[in-house]
Amino acid sequence: MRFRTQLANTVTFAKLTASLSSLGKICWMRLEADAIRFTIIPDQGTQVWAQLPVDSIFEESTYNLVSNSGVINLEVPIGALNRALRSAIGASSAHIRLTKKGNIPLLALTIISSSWTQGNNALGIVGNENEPAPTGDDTTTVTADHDGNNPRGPEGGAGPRERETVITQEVPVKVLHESVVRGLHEPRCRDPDVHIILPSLIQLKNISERFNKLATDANTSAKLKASSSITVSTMSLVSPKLELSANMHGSLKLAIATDALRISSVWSGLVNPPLDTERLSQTEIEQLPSERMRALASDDEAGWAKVRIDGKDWGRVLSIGRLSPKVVACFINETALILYVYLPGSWNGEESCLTYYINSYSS
Amino acid sequence: MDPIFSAVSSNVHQLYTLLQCIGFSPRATVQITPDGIRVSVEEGRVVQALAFLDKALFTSYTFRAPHGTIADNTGHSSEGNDNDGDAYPHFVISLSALLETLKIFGINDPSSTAQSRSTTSSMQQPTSSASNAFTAPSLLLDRSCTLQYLQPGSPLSITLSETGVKTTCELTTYEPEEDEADIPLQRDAIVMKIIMRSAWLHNAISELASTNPTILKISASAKREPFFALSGSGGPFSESTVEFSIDEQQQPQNGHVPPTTQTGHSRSKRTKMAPTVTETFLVNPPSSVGNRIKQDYRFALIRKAARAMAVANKVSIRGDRQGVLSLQFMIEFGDDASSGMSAGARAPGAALGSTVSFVDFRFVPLLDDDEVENDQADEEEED
Amino acid sequence: MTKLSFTLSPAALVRLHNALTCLSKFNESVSIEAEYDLLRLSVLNSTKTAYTAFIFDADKFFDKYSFTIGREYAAERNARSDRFCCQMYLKALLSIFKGKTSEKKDKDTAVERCEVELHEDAQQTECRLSIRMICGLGVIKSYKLTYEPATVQHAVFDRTRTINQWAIEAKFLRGIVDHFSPSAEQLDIYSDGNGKAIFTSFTTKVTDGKEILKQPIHTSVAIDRKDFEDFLVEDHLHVAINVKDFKAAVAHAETLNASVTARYSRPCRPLQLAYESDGINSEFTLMTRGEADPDDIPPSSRRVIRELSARQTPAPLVQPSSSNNNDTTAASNRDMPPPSSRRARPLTGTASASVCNPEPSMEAEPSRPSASIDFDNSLFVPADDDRQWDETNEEETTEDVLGWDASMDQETLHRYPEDSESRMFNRDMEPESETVTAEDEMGIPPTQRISQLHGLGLFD
Repeated sequence: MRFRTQLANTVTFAKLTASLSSLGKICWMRLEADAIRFTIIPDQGTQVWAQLPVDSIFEESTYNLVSNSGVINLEVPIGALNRALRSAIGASSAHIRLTKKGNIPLLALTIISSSWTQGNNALGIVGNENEPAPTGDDTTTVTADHDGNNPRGPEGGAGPRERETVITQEVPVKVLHESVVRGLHEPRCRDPDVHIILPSLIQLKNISERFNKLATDANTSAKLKASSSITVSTMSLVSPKLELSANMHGSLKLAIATDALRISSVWSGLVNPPLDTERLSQTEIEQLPSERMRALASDDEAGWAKVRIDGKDWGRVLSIGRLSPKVVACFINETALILYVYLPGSWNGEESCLTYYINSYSS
Repeated sequence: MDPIFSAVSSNVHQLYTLLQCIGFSPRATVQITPDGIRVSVEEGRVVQALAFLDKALFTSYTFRAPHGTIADNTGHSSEGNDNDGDAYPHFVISLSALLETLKIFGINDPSSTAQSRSTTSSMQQPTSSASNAFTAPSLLLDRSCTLQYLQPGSPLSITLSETGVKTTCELTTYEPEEDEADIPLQRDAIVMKIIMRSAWLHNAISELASTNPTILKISASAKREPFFALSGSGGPFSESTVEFSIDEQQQPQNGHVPPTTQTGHSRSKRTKMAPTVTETFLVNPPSSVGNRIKQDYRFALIRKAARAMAVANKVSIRGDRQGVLSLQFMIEFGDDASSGMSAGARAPGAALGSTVSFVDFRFVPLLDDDEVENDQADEEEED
Repeated sequence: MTKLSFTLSPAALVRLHNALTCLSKFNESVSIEAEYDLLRLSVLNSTKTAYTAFIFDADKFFDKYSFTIGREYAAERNARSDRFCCQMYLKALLSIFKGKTSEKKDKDTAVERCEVELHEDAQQTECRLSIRMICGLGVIKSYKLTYEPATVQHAVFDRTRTINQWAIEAKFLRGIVDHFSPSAEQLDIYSDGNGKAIFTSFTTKVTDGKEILKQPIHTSVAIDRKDFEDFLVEDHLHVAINVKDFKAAVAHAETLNASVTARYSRPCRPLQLAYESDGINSEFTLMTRGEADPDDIPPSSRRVIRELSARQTPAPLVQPSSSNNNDTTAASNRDMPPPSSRRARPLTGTASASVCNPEPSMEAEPSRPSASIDFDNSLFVPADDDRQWDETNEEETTEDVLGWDASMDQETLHRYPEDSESRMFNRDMEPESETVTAEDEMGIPPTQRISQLHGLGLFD
């Protein structure tokens, strides 16, 4: 069993792991010949099933995967991996490999980081006292401070030079046998009632957060008024539930209601993208729930599909926005929300897809 | 049906800034009048604050006084009298929710005045990248905010519109408490009136707060040093004092000198001594207490005005014979003399010239053991 | 009557504050010692494995400095007659010096000078230190603080006996510690014999087999010996110190743009980090752990780590009250007078240290909750504002954010996120730590929150 490769888009990899780590601590990472899969299945909350082509995060020419089954399944503490990757941002090269230390398997990152130093460390300057010290170089000050410290070693070199730092980050992982992961399947859902491209995720995230806050505040102030204390106290314990709904006429609505207020934000002019309908007959297409919804008038309440989602969890889901993806939201009325997150980049967008499965809470 | 009240603001930030000054309480009493909106809060009858949203802050402001039929439950209780026929709508809303809603326009917490002012005066970028939408304050100008109150008992509705998204919030309106009463400031018995830049008061209170005192002592005298001093006591480790004295020192390194600062020489000729930082310094203690006014307040209460201190341009500090303290904050929008921002670039909808708004705070004094003459009536409960 | 008075320039005020911030990472109270020509602030941590001292030169650091000692004071304390000692809470001092240093928005009323005065009168029971900040426009801020009389303990460190020594600019060390996980506890340092110095952070937590994935990352950073100004180190000799102590020193050294010199002999003996700048002599004497024979096992192996902790890793030798004031070792080092405390338990660099005392105090200090609460987020700030995507803590935004001290050195906070005062607060108010983190993340100016005022433990 061997896995080693050079990292390609470190920033993408780091951002991806950052977003995934907000949804779960442990990630199932599946290394295949032509794709890398990341799966997060938390005890509760949103599931993520992501598939990325190898070249989206790794240097394909250096991608070396050897395993009897052709795949390697790892259980990875995704937060730790993210942390390790952050050392690699801006580095001149970074490798990752599966290795072992004692009995513990590790993902070891070896990162070589170069930086240019003005050089002239204290030794160099003291050695050339007659030469004027370089101006504007803060090491000059240091030299002065260390006047009494006579450097003895031969190591120092004068003049600007490249500094090289080698960083190794070792992330303990578990190697999973194929039989362990065989039982894990991506959820299957019926055809969506509404599919729509989400607006700017940062705007959506910020407004969602305000709504969460409003829900919390409203509970608090209601509590101060000491009215309907029972419902209030139970409500404040759980994360606020946001109502998210959309129709096939380009509108998306986010709403909450509490004792103190009712608030909603409505986006309009969004795109309802066409589905991949190549394999379907015309009749089958017409039978799709979303097409039936599209047939309803834009002001018809029945044309909206609605889900109730956990406000905090939703905020974590939206953190994928840091990768500036295109997100298609598929609403299955009162049941689930599925997000197809397509990452931008030079690689094939179709292949690089993260799928988020979000259950709807009953009202 | 025409609403009782409808107003449009093209600068939510101004409303937010004013309301945030009194945001220490989650609920506020709102009264809509033909001249503007009075928003007041209070806590434990020992601190009270009022922000007045002048109609000048709005691009349109329509108020149709309702018919007398509703007068019985919308009495103008700030007058302490329900029966004076004042029929202006009067209700309680969640202030925290109102503030949070206004924040949907992406107003970052303007903890510094410079920052908040710059948001009103720069408008270089158009709505471009969405990631920018919540950080670029200029964009606030392209948005509008509509406040509406349809009829008695209706929610107060706030509509925020911007490109592509429209947010509507309906705040439940509650009936105001019956027995609200203002903390009385005896205007005919003012013994102290000090006007200064609010930032200096803020700085002093922040300073004292760092040692976590429980009591704020105000000491002022027109005759002897220290002329004006604020002290914090009751903190765990230290006692701290901020004294405003006369700056005898010439300060060539400071480019500008406040208007009240003449040279040390001419100052010393003055008969009435006043700290350098004060614009107005009037202290007339009642003869019974000598020539120094000393009064204690709960520090935690004074601190509730911190946000107002931070954003205001000037503060008028007044005290009456009973020790009731009034802090009146003048908040100027648009005039950026102090922050150095260009005042030329202004919102198209905003009024020309600066808009001056006021936020008032009143505080009940702490009982002073040494001054038994003080009215002890309702001060004990707060200790 | 004993009298100490000195005057600080605004620049010195900044440096004093930086020193206090650094000291606060080690313990709650600081020992203050005044002598005729210097003022020393020092802290010994609770496990007595780290001793930090800043020595301020009377002439170079202060604008004015005067110290006279009362005869009765010396007699009463039975102490060295040329020295006055007391102890104060760091939080009390920090709350005063915080934010005085960069009042950019209020230039007119910025601090122009700071006068500190202490009168010790045997007749008076309460000890008071008074601090006056003279600001522009006639604003005068004054404070009265209480202090406790104290005897002061010093770590003994004999520089002449150290075999290994290296010196390097603090910013390079900063570049190293940035890669360490915030939950890492120990730092192993060695030279690989191939021109590299290797800094490895690790954690000695007992690891259950099932908890593998909860193990912290093991990070090692190798830099070239060329980066050092001075590097005289025995190859393959491993010494390990507490990584947080190291970070504290590095962060402070960076504020002075200093070059840090490390001196040590071998594992289980103290290591000293020292640097001098702007009239401040800084010393961190840290107990090391490690293998007596470093060659047999490479330290970066997890196996060794377990052994280290299982073996009851060596502790500093605790010397019973060596009230011997004429201790020759100590006397030879002017900067490090011997302890005069009756309960002196100094770190020792003396001969008997060849015994590695298995005192548990060297175990991963439980008194220091690891700041794993996401300081890592602030350690690496990518060029774009990636953090806006992180989860915001609603509790945090619920708070009434006041404008207190908005002028505090924001730059410093951003440059040294894990070393800002928020860190210090963290220790004492765990529940608040997320707040602080979130604050860092959002890049909000470092205002002080009401909750902090309330939650400071000591202030409650």
